[in-house]
Amino acid sequence: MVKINGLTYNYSSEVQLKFPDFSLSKGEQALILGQSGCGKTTLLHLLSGLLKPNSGNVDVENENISKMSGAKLDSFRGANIGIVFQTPHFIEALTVKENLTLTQTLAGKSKNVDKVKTLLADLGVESKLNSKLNALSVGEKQRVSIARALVNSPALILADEPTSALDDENCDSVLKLVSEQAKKHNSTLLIVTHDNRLKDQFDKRIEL
Amino acid sequence: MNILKLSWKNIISKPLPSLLSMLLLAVGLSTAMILKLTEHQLTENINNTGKDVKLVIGAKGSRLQLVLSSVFQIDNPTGNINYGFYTLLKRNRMIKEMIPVSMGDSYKRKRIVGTNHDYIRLFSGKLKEGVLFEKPLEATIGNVVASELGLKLGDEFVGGHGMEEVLHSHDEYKYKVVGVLERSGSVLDNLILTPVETVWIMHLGHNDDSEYTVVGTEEGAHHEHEHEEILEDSLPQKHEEHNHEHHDHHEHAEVNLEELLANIDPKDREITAILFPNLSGNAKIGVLNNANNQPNMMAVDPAPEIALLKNKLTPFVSIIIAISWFITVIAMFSVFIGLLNSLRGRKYEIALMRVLGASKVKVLISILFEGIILSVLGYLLCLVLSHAGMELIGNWMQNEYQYEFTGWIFLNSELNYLLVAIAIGLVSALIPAYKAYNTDISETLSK
Repeated sequence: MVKINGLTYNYSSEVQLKFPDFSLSKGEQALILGQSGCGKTTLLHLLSGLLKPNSGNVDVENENISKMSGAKLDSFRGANIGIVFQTPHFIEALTVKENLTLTQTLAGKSKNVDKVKTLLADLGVESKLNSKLNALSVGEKQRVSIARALVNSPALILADEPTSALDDENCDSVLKLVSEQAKKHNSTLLIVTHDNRLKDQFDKRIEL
Repeated sequence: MNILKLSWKNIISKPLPSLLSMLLLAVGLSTAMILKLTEHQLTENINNTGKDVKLVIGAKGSRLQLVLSSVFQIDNPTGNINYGFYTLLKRNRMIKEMIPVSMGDSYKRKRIVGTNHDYIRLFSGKLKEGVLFEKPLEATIGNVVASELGLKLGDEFVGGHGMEEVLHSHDEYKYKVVGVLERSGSVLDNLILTPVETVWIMHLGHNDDSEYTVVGTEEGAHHEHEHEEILEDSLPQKHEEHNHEHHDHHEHAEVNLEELLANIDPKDREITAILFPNLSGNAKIGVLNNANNQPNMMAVDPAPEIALLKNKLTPFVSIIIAISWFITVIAMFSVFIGLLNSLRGRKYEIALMRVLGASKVKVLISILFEGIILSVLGYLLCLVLSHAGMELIGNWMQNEYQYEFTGWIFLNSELNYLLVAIAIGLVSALIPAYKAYNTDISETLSK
């Protein structure tokens, strides 16, 4: 389902990153662990096609996305990869509902408000459907961010340090939600983190 | 949620900068549009009014002033000519039609013109109610005069000497409204029309060397007063200072107008100008030569004078147009800077859109849409501003120039301004859109 093979990325002739090969089957969940600066976010960007590797391949849903480019890659990413960022960012001019329906339409899918409502209810923020993002707390924003990553039922969910800004209580809650929702949608989940609190919560761990 | 809606939401989420951009664009475009509307109406009015007058005869002076005053009712007259010349020309069989025009008086800033019925026909005037003037002191008034001054059939009013402001009231005699004309959009709308004889009666005792005793006045009731300012302002040919006797006409009820007219010395029967419609060929040359050979007269063909006037106005119009386009260019920069600033704050949002599946082209289009939406809104605001502004200016111009100017006129060329606005929106959004197009997603998201 997700497979990387011989992946390298060079920031310059002096800074060259090499990533270990690994593969994850459909619905599998794993952590990518490593200290700051070891290339965790770079790997995540390579996995989502935001960066092109210098060598090696990234296969998602049996498609080699490192060979894809342009609108095809954008469209593939929108439909098959959901990303939860460390700091949740949104389009500020839009409401929660509009942010999520925009995610559907940008991925080439039809607008499905019922699905948006169900997701927000599952994540405990259904009352924020028509709220502007600046009216939400950090925890609520992170939940909406998870909803956005799931709204197109992607094959792969990538989470970049999703808990680093959260306290222990919120950390457990968010992690539980991401994990549960990924299982519910049968999505492969890959969490990139240096947060040691998560270390023992996943069986599969990839150290960088 | 589609891209167009997203662009719209981005605009309304920052109402003040968006409004400023729209307003600047609207002010620039509406200045140009008001000029266009004014020029269109002015040209139409000039063409409609001037097209049927082939020659004007009046007192010697400025040729343009004679045309403006006697044909367009804008400027002050150059002076007066003797009515005898008009009667002399009437014997000429080659002249099919000529219209005497006598001016110098007004009522509440509306010009009183002594003339005949041909003047009304010249401008295709039609009666709305009442009749056309027949006798002295009868007045047929223009539609705007009736509505603005609240005059109706049977009303009486006292005219005064002077056109811009009344310097001296002719309170000896009262005009009586006998007819109201339909609105025609021509000079007629703003004029009070009466027989030329009315003007002679009104100016009895006001002419140089003339002194008339009005029937029914008491001897010894005369008093003297000076009125050189009056003449200076309205009748430039009569600049010499003079005193004259002014009669007390307060018992004018007993005045016999026919007897009064019969007693007016022919040399004191004056008119301001003679208009010649349908005059061409030899007849025109003959009249031209005849008039120009008179010591105090000149004959003027209006067409070249109008062309000269247009030429004189061209540099001023060009300057105003240049200023309006300068404002429009500033507006373009305002839209550009507004979009650029807005994008700077939305860099992460642009990257986010790309992560969510938007192609580079889609992002580019969304920013271009923002520029276009701003410019179309600016154009709509410009339509409101320009037509409302034209209506306001029109009211003032109507009083100044005796022509109808309105904001409720829509020209096909206004659509060109929409194209200009869209082009401005596109050009000003081009660089911000290109920057958004080239956003490095990975780098932006890593910050």
